[in-house]
Amino acid sequence: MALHTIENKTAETTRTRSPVGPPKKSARAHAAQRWRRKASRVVLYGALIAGAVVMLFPFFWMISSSLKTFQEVNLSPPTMLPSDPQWSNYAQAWEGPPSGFGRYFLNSLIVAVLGTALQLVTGITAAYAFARMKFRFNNLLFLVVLATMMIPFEARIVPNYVLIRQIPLTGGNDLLGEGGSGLYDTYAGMILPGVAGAFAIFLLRQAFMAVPRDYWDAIRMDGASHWTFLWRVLIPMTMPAVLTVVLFGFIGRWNELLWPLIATQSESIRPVQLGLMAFSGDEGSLYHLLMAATTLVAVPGIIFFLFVQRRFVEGLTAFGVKG
Amino acid sequence: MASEIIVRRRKRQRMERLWLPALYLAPTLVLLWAFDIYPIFLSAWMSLWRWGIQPEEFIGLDNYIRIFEQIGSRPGGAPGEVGQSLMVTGFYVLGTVPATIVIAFVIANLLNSKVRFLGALRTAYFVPYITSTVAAGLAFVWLLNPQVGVLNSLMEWFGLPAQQWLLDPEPIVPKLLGAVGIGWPDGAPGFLAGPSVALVCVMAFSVWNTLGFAVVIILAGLITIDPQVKEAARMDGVNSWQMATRITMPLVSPTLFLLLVVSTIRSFQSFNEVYVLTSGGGYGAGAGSPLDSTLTLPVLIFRHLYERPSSVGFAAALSMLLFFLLLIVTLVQFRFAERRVHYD
Repeated sequence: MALHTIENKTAETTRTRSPVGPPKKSARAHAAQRWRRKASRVVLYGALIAGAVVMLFPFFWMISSSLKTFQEVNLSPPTMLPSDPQWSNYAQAWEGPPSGFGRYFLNSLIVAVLGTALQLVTGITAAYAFARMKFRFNNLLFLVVLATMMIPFEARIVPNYVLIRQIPLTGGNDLLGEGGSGLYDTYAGMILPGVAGAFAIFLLRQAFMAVPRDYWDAIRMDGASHWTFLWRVLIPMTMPAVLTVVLFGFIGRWNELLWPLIATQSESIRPVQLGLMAFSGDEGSLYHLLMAATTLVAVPGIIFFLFVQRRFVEGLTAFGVKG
Repeated sequence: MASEIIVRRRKRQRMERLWLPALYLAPTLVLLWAFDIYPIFLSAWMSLWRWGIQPEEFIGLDNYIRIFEQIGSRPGGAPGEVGQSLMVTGFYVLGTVPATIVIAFVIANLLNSKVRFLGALRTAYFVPYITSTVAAGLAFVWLLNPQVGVLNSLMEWFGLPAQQWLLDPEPIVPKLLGAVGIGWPDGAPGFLAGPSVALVCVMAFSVWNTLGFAVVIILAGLITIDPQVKEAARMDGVNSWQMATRITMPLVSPTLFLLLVVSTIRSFQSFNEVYVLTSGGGYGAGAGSPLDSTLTLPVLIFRHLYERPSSVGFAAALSMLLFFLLLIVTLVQFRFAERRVHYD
């Protein structure tokens, strides 16, 4: 808006300032300027579209290859599009691993849904305490929570590998956490270390703090508790932040690779990313099937993202602006 | 009656001051302590042991001495495993972080100039970021296949020699110089020869993969710039280069700094990219291949943790090294930024 008014103003001033200038020349200058602007627009769009093509080409090639026959996928030079789309590749890839991809997808779903739900609930209560309750060391504790963001993942992975084996009374362990394998090779072992998320708490706290105090004072009059206020008033009012946490949590969990690789050994509970890696080890030279499996793993996430992308980008934007 | 109510209210208030926050915070604090904070101390403790599945023997600083021994040269003149991984990590961070930020800055500026289909274009740049590294990485492995990959077909089409890409352990600088007919002196130090072709491929993948995140963050910073500032500068005859470097850059410098810190931390921790690109897709050569030329520090930690017996203590010592390296780099960045970043 502001830009438009300024542009209009400059146009007006130049017009009023030089009413007696040679009209022919000014028209030519205008035409040249317009041409230059048009050309720069063309260059701009050209660059942006070329960039977008580079970014998306691997996906196009993945899908295109996934529909070719074994002979066609190994042609050199390659064909752009499959001459006769082989939809059966997908069925074949789905059945590829010994237990099929279904089991891996189910495992990923369990880990992602439970992990995200736990993160959301613990994050919401913690953020509420930080944002709305007066107690000693509130700020100090919050700083400690934020500081955990700085601890690199790899520095935690070695001790966590040891820790989940030593959780007492699980996996055949005694009260001191010895004797069995603890939570190693279980869903709980995969899920628990990632539940507490400083970023989620930070985002929710900011959102909760933005809600005016009057709402609390009003509902307090009716004798409502913190718990009621939080779930009945605050959460509905801060839905964008809540959804951002859900989206980040879910996609982060779905794409996890290193921790499940270290924390499990049975294929029957491993998530889909590990299933895909295993498949690529077994059938890696059958690229049409590998690309079909890869498409199966990648596309649900992309479609999910396309549906919710506005919220997702908003969430990132808040992160970028507020740091 | 009245006093009883007051007492009850006081009691309730005291409870709210103490127990309620504790209750709300407990799950988070317990989990953060158990899996984020305590592990640092446990890791420091473990690094003093020879440790398999259980602690085996207290060996003091032996693991750290071993680290230093493995930084130095192997008999053949090549650096030891740890030294190699430090060099590779250095190449990786220096190669990906500045490239990502510069390219993202350019794209974000282009996207910010009132383009149509902004949403669609932004999505195109962002999709690689939300795709799992395994899926996207395997697609790259296929593109880079030396025999029938599409990139080699493209090279041929341009009249260039086909490459081995992810299978090529040779450093890139002598290779490029050789292509234009300049020889590489035998005695030159290894780090001057640059990353291997394979590592450059992994780095290119990493830039492609994280670019969208950087674009969205920078775009968010650009949108907050008051358009009148730019318009005023334009009327003073500032050209686009000056506009980008003298006006836009200082104004988004807090965002760029945040991005620098976040990307550096992430880049130091790069495991997934290397793991997928060097051990996926049927090469079966293992993470860090070929010839350890893509062996980042996190991959080395993984190697000790996952593939070697009784090496968990050594892996812990290596992760302490990574932790302190990151701490130092981040502190230096903050120190440097104090002078360079403009906050309002």
